[in-house]
Amino acid sequence: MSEPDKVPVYISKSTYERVREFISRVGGFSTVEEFVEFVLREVLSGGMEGSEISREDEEKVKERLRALGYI
Amino acid sequence: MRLLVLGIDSAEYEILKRIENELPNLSQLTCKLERYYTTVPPITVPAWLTLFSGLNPGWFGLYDVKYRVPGTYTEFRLYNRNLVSSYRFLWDLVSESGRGVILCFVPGSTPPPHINGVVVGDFFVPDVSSLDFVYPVGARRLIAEALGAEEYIIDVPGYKRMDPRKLFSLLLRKIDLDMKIFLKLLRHVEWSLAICVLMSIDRAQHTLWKYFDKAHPRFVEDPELEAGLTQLYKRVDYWFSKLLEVVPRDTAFVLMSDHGAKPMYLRVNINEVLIREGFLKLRERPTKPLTLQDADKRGLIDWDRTTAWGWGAYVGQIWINLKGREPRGTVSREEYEDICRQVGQLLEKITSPDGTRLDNKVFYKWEIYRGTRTRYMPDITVYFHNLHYGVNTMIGLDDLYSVETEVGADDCNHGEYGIFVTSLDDLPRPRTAEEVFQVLKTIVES
Repeated sequence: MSEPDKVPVYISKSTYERVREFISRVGGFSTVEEFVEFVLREVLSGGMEGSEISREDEEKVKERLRALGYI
Repeated sequence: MRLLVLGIDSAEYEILKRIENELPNLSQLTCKLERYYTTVPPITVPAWLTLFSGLNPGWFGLYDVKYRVPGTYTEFRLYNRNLVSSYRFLWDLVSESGRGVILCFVPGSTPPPHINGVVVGDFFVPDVSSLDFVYPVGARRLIAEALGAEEYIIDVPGYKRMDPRKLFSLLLRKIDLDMKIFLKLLRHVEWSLAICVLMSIDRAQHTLWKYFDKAHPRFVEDPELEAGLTQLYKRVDYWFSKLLEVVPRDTAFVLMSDHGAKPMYLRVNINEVLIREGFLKLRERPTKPLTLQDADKRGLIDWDRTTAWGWGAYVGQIWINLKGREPRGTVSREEYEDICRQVGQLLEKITSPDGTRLDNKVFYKWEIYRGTRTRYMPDITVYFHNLHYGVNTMIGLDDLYSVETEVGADDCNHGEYGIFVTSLDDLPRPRTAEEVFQVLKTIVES
């Protein structure tokens, strides 16, 4: 039964097989669908390089953690 | 099934088992206490992220509360939850099924996820006026009612500036404030999953262990503080009894930590070691000790001739100056593994100052990390002397060992085992942080 908040997106069989092999080898995800959703979210979010917060807020926390010896 | 998770950051199995007779409420759980092998490294970030997602740290590209900015050698930025917003955590699974969630002070949850429930921020929140402190904004009323006239403590200030007894009483008070907030939310918010992580014990261990432990090499006698760690646990035990009074009888409980704790004796000056062995090259030796970052800003490091350099505080984290990855890489892909092993073998042989062999453990990236962001992870991770030695990354030190960094001494290091126990029977015993998540998932899906 299809879920009301999802839409079908088709990928090639060869890509599907590659993803299936990848997740069975690396772990972390239990279905191809789960992994594909993650990859798309990752690309849209910018991953490590697109995830910044305000420098001012960051400096406040850095100062506190620095004083505690964590950084 | 409803699940309440009480997390105690840095709770150590050996300590809890030793004092459990003094914890009448928690001992209902600690009598079945187990330990699991936590993430490499055993650090708050990435450990709590792995515990609540089941994902190896290589998926996050995170190995500490800070991360090296890609394309630089020594610039770093602080963790924020936007870095992991693509991943699904335990609270996302519960929230997306329409059930309520309460998250209190869960490390790694800032900025707050917009879940079906309430989130009160962790120690990455800059201050209580920040919008990131409470989600949704309307829940601030509940927090204010819980605290009354008291001012909330996001984190304790640096211990060098504070009298240890005053610091201790702040840590006790923080437990009270945290639990008042948690209890208020449990009473007034619809929930199916509630997680509260207390940081006071971790902070106390790092800053005050030498007062608690006569065997610590820097032991300081203070009758008011010597039973301090037990007192902190007893305060948690008291509040646990209050949790038992307010939650429905069919609530499943989990008590867990992200890693353990053990006394830190000394630090290895890792970059001094690498300099002496020719892996890290300087244009000019500093006239006084500098942080790695300051040395880099002053142009003292010769990156064009450097093969490896070190990061870390609790563990050694080594980077290889790899061509194609680093701005001025010197090591080819073909040479990479061989260079890693040379550096790893060097660090594995580090002895104590008097030449005694140490129980050092070396982990290579390809052995321990999996995921799509492994390229950001350190190439080599080292646990020195079974984590009884930490690491100092400063340059310009006269020795290969030190007690203090530029901010002072740390009394304790993290341990490689976290604790885990559930009130439910017939669940598999988790052996790793990833397996802890599978147990938690089983409970919330039952």
